[in-house]
Amino acid sequence: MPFMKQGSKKIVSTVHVPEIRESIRQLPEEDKIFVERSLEIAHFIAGVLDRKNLKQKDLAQLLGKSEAEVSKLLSGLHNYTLRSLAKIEAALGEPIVCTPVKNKKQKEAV
Amino acid sequence: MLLEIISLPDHQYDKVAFYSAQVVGKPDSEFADFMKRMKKDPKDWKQVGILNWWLSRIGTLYGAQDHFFKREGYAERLPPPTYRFVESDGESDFGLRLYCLVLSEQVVILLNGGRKTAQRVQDCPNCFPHFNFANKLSDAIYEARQQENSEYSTCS
Repeated sequence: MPFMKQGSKKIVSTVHVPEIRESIRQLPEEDKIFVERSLEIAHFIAGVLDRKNLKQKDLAQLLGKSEAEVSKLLSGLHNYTLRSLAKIEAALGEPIVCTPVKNKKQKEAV
Repeated sequence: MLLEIISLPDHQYDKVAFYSAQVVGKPDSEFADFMKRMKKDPKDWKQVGILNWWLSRIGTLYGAQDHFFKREGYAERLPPPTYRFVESDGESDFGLRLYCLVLSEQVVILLNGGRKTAQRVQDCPNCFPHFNFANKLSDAIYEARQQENSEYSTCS
């Protein structure tokens, strides 16, 4: 596990914060799914940018948005609209979201 | 001001270890203080749950990758480690902001924050003190590293 040290001594105390698990336990399932999907999409878009050797500012230019707005898109906490996903797909030339139906058809085609 | 680094056992994962900072003499670490304060308002509490779930997924699946954490615009020009922040989707406002220091993809120090009520953080009384603290801490860590007074390791 990663840790911080000064010289050869550990300088870290350990303190439980029960509110962390409590807040997660009380979080509705739909909010957990929202975060999972937003993270997946953000991570995927970041990967596409990497592969294409593009920076966030390049995506901002392609989308006609500010860098701050693009930064939000890649945070993993963004509530994407279908329209904004379509714009990103068009700008990057790659599909971002696949439905189970489309996935199944693609698998059958192979 | 003396600071202690606090390990957060409830936020330790395979890919990321989260810590916080505690001012010596204060009863709680910065992150524990943030959690306790946000518990008072149901809207804040729900978004804190979202942030904690997000931290757990980053820690378990992705690592603390650069694009997950935001910078203030001018911080692009500052030497690392500049403070970063994460922000919940505010829906009808600017959302909950949590400041942190991303030391590497494996080590993150969670600090404090609040509900952002103004466009500029300097105009937001909930966030401004924590923005200041994050700024000072990142400067202190930068100086300590320059003087080789501290080090961190990603050894398992």
